[in-house]
Amino acid sequence: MEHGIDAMVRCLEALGAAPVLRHGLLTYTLTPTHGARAGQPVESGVAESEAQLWPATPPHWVHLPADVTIPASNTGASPHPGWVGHSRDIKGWAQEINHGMAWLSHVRSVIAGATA
Amino acid sequence: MTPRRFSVAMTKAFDETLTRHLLRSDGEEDLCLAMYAPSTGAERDTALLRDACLPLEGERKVHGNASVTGRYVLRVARQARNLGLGVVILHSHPGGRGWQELSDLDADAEASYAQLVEQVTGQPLVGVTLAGKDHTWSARRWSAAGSAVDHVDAESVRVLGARLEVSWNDRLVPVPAPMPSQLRTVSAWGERPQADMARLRVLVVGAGSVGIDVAIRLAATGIEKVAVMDFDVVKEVNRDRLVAATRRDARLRVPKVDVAERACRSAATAASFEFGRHQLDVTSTRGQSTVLDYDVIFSCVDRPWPRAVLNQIAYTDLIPVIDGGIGIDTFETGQMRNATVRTHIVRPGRPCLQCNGQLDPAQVARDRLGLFDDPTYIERSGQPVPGKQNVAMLSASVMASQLALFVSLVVAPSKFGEPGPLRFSLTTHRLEHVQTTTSPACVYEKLVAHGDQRIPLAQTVADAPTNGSMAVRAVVGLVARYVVALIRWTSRR
Repeated sequence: MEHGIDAMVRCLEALGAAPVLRHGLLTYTLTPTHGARAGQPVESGVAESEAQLWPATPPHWVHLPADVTIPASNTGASPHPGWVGHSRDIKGWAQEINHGMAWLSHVRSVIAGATA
Repeated sequence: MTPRRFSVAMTKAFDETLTRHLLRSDGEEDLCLAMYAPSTGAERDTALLRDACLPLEGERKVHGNASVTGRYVLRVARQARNLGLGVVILHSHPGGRGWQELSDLDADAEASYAQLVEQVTGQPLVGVTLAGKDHTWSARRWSAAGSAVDHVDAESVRVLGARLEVSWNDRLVPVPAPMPSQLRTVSAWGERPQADMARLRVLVVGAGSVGIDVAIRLAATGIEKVAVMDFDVVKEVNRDRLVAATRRDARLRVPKVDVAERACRSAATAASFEFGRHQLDVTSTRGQSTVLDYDVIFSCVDRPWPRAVLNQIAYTDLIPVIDGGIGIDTFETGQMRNATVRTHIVRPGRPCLQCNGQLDPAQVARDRLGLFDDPTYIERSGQPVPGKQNVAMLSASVMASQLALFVSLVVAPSKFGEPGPLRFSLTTHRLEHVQTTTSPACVYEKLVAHGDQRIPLAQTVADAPTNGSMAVRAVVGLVARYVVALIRWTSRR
């Protein structure tokens, strides 16, 4: 079974999220359907060290550009200049059949909470 | 330098596949090739057998002593190389009984392919023999350094299913001498199961309220090699459950593994008892490689990350993990609502800890990032700190159930192996079988017998977002350990 960062890259590629490795993050683009950013492509990323465990363990931190404002979010530093890590658990990962779709859906729901 | 120990392991399903081919209805010897994944422990190498590559038309001859063609060996060796695996050559002795020593003829046949296989795959050739009369496996590993070709025997061949069936190389791991102190134990299941059980290398991970009690009882039963892994020290708050620890242990912050060793040595009944002291974290790469040296693991840890590491090893490295835990619920008033004990053996063919709802991968990620111990993060998250209720009288139920599962796995009373996941509810005193199934996308079932190709769950995290408190805590921890060691040293003088 394929696992690790290459497996996550292939998952995201298959879903058209255009993954690119930069600044210690695996970045990709997705378009949220709800919230202030609905309909606009938004870049996001996960740390390489977290992607190495794909798909056994889902990444915890959702890295987003700092101008994606999410109120009351528990944030941490990001290796990507000008970005912020948002702490988020993903539920039901053990039962997921398609981990790539589940991850993008999770990130979309995080971005849906953005006010700007 | 001590030579590395060598063992072979396979699932029961794979054993059945090989047996169907090797034990022919006409009683002739037969032969086939398979692939193996290496599993590299701190002191032991294991060849994990997988992917039977049965011969195609004309690739082997059955004529008393079976033989294979070079074309067959090369085909499988190339296939193995592409997958990063090694090659196993297997043959049967239909009339054989017990561990099979290698005849000159068999040795020549295997040796003739050792160099070719090692050159193509980069992995040593492994030879395996099946004795047809009593279904004993025997194995050896060939080395082809330069022109010299030689082999070392395996110490055991382990077959993991509802039972753990071990074929022992009695020459390397002798049958233990029965002791008068074990009379009543041996009379419960007989000498052969006792001899098989006593030779297992059993590791208890986590020397808490359950782990130490488990280790003591393993030693008392006569198991020769019991080991305990825990990086922590005894604290006053542990004393209501850590029954083997003293006030002095807590005052001096004695490592829990030392308390376990003291208790196990005084309880041991084996003529030659060996205690494995591992003051290590199983989530470290060193901790993980140490785990791979053992035949059975008791998981007596409650944090998600160590449980995830052990959960994976059960599948990737074919080491059964006997896991358990207790959940105590309280009402808002603080009074007890219920206590639930869950125990299960994690192994291929049974739901993993994630599939049976005992492990949330999202919490594994958090634990791995150190977020459970980061006070700043916890304060910012606004989430309540999880309860840590535990009671010595009830943790004994976990220990009892885990040990009963061990007996089922190893002794299989009335041929009943381990029963699957169990749940005991204190309010109703009801024990039930938990009906869980493996998710079709279960990562771990897809990694059975992958060995060193496992997911690197046991590596340290370098670049997670942090607020610096982890680094400060690490330095404070180091200083504290130094001070404690100094106090202990001066108190002994």
